[in-house]
Amino acid sequence: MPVQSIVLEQSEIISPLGNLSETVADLIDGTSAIVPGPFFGVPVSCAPFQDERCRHLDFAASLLQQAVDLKNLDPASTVFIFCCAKGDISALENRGPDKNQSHFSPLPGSQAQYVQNMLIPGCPRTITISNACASGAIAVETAKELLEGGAFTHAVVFGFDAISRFVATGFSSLSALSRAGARPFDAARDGLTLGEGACMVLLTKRTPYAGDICIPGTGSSNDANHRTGPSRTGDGLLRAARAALTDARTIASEISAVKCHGTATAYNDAMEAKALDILFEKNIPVCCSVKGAIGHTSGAGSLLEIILAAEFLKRHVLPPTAGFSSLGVEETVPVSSEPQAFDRNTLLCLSAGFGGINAAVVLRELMP
Amino acid sequence: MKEPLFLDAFAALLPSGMYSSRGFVPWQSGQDGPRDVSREQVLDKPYPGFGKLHIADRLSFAAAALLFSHYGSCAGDETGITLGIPAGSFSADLLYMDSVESGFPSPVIFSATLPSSALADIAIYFKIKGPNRVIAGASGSGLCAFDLAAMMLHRGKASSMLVVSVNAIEPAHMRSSLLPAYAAVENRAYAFLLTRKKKESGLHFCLETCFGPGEKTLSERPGESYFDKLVHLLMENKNGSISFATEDYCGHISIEKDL
Repeated sequence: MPVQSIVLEQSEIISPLGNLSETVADLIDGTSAIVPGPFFGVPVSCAPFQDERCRHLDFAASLLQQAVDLKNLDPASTVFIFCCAKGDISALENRGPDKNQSHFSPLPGSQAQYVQNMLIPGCPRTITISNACASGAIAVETAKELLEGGAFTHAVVFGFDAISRFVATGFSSLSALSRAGARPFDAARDGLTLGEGACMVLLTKRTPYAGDICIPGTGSSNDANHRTGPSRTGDGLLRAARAALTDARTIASEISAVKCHGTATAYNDAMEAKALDILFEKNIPVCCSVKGAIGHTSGAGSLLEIILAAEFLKRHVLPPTAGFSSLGVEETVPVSSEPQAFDRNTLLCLSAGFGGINAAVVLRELMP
Repeated sequence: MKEPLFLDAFAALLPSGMYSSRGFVPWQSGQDGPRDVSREQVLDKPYPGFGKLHIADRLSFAAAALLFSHYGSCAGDETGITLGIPAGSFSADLLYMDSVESGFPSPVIFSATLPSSALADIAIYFKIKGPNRVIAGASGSGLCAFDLAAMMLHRGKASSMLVVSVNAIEPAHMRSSLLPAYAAVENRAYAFLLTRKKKESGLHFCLETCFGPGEKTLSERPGESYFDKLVHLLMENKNGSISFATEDYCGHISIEKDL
């Protein structure tokens, strides 16, 4: 009997650089969507949606619905997984019966129900994952577990996070934002840049064909160290990455490229470099971060970046790490301001989030 | 054939009082239910941050602390946490917006405006480093957290899973028009420890779960009420099963004393 895998069947994103094909092309060209602020009164740069209407969950969901064909799905055998950090909290920011025009409450569960009813009416199971900025990767891990468990044949994973006054002032109050733009792994990095993202992927458990992108391994962990800061040692991210490799029945030397979390905060990038150095025993494969180009798209980000990483894997090239100029971590992390080609078929995606959460996803292209 | 699982410890903070394998303790006079739980009632060590925790974080932490107070440590990377939190960080969100509108956005409150902050406090204090999931859906969030924990144990991703289910809203926010009906329920918090190996100090209840797809029904009651039934079975040391159907989750939990 042919071995079945979790296959990335269809996907689409809305990033600050546009849709999936536009974003991949611009990333490889080295284009950045980061523009100077202020945003919501906060004097920092941001990577906003090109069309402000995408800040509304219903508008973004309708665009993604046009791009990902869900019409032939059997709702009874499909699980819908919604992921966000805060999602669309316009109702919270426009408090008052006259101002609030939103169709849903600011709670993630309410947003999830709205989108599920819009995209897959009659779907028997909706799961709402809110694991901070690792939400998307944890959602993919959950989808994989459910599909492998056999209760469902399809999983639709949907991620959304928009910049708002709430989010911009919050990250600013934590002194986490860069004024000029994120510079992942760079010596002059001074914080993250907020971005916006919406994305959707259809995952199927089936026999893969040559050229398919599969998800053979996922892992997650907790630092148990700090509410908002990462572990200084990188041990939590390392454990998540090792768990993903074990799940994928592979070893670190089989990984040909890494899509890093790479927020451009001093502590994240230092921690991530330590984890990579130990995982790969100082022979770290080519790495990139997309956050210098599209910003940190929060809870949607780790799903959006997995979708992008699948495209990098198909092309066997990592985009330049926008904002990067000279290495600013102690370990030799091979990020570059130029595109980097790689030759093998397995890529590692790393994510982390507030609450000490770490997640890792292994992607593999099935070769002929 | 699935490996057997055990439900080895539990704790619950309900409007009537605190429940655990040590018995039932009613709220003291002057305590207005779970919201007023004190550190001393759940933890025998000092924890200066306890009183500063926002309501969802405080109740989640208190339920976990009460469970571990009689079970012992589960520290390490072999234990994970799943958190079901249908009301999310709603109260902290409103308090943070108040701070924004006052012109002084509070970084302390902002750090509590992610539903995962409740999980973080538990992980940090009890050094629980395994996999985690935060389920911030509708009525079935806690049931989903229970399901995913059992699934992770069956898949060998952890040896023990702490399941925390909490609904916590400040009284002043309970009537907010922004609060969906599924989250507008009395404050309560539950903690269950699911394991692949029973521990000497544990309850030794064999656990079976079945969360397959099924008919989704409109929720007639909050998902948490199903956990009330489970707590009462555990308090009475009885075998039993619970079937549930909420707007986002449905399934079945059975417990049977392992003799």
